[in-house]
Amino acid sequence: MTLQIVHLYCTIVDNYGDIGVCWRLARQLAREYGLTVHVWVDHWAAAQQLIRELPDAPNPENPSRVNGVVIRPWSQVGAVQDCTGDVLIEGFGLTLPDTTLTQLAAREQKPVWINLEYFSAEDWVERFHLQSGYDPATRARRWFFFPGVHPHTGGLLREHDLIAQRDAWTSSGQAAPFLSQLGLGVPAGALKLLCFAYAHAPYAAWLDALATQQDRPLSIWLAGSYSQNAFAQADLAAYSGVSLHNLPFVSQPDFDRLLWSADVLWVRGEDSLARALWSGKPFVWHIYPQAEEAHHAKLAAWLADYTRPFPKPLQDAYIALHQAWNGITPASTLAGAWSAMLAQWAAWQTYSQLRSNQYAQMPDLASRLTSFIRTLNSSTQTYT
Amino acid sequence: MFTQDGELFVVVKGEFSKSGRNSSVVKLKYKSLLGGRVKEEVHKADVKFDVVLLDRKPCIYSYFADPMYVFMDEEYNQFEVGADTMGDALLYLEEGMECEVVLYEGQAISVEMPNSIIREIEYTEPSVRGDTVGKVTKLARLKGSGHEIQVSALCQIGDKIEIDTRDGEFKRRVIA
Repeated sequence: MTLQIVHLYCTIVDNYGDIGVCWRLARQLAREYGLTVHVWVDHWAAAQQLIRELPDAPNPENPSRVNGVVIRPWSQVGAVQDCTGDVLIEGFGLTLPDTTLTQLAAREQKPVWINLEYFSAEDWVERFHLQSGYDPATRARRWFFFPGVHPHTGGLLREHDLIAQRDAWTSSGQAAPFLSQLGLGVPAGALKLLCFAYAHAPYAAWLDALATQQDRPLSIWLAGSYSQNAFAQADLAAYSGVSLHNLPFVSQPDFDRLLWSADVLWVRGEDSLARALWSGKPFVWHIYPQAEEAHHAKLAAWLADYTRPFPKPLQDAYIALHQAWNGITPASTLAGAWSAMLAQWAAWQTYSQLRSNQYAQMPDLASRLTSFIRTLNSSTQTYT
Repeated sequence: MFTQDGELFVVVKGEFSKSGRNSSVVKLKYKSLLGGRVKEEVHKADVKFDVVLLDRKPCIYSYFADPMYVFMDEEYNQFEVGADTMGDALLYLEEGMECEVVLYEGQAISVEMPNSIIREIEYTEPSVRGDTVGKVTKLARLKGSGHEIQVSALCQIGDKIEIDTRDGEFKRRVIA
């Protein structure tokens, strides 16, 4: 199957998670696989927050090119002769623009049409991954690609030199000047925590638990408006040695450097989960809440997989902490959960690094995706 | 049932899963009612298929002409339905059984049962008076089809019972 031109469509719904994943994948496909990648975004101003190189307004005569990727707004789909390419990727089950669907329907030789799905560690994902469905409207076959951690799923995004970059950064001594540039003056010996969570996190209980159970200064870095707004009126008078810092919106590479520079990470969404995992640092995941508490099963599945080799006390503490942070147990349980986690501090450090290295042995998402596309029979798009 | 490129398919199995945010996906196993081939596909849960207009005809079950089950309407017209598209009707089949044959372009493709049917118990373990500790239900075999379901522990051989065909559950003993 020819694999040269990729058209990747994404939408910006409520946060930057979808475009974060799509942008990261696009850059990796361009940089590591030499593909011609076009990214189509439905909200230019929001995309500009993440991709700072974008101009204020898109120019149809001179499309933006960043990191080797062409970026265009959905509104310009009609101006392009071919907006489907060899590989057509729709991010997270979105509905493609009408013009794209029309082009897809008209093509005799269809592109490989991929629905890049949401990450889950649940068992059902293996039964759905790399399965397809025929779409009568376009007479094309849509393939479902599920990121995941089980052997027969799509893996996680991980640039081929990411671990090497991480290790080089960690031993380079660049963290202090980097943090200083971001306005973070970290007291000597402080525990550095990065908090990037959703609006409904039990922030007050969290701060109280951390501040009252720590015997050294706390430097808390707040990323994203939810976390920053939660503490906008915070009264730190009751706590000593606690400092809160609002982080600016940074590029994806700089976000990695922040993770590598911190001691404990509280992250949200799928892209940051993967980045926290690759950092090798202890982390706590705030999962995206879904209707009918569907996310509870997803969180449980991830925790079961991630903590499988943990010693029982560490596993119990880790799961309890996640249940408190994600509202499965009351906020009042957070203090006890954090206390139990502190008691496992050394083991937590060790197993965070261990699991990062273990998961990094798995083929990454981009390699699995490109391998799959290449194995497809070009005329029948059959795959066995 | 739906058509795809002019071919009629019946869904024989479905698995629904919530992926992320408000999205869901569905894995469907369906069978072609013309060629008999079976395939599995995954779709977004909001997938739309071409609506199929079906006819339904009241019939009674007449006899088994291997491999087809033969049904007859009030005008003595016969309709043959294959075992693999009989669905749950096979579990309750008995001669003279009333049902609806589903037709597509004049061809019988499946059978639909009434929501509730009465069947006789051919065999079940005898109930022992007073021995009800922990025993609320027991297994019973239906006369005719031989299908087994859980029934009240009070049911006996020869009892007639009402069954909800939509979920296959025992509803009640039918007292004559």
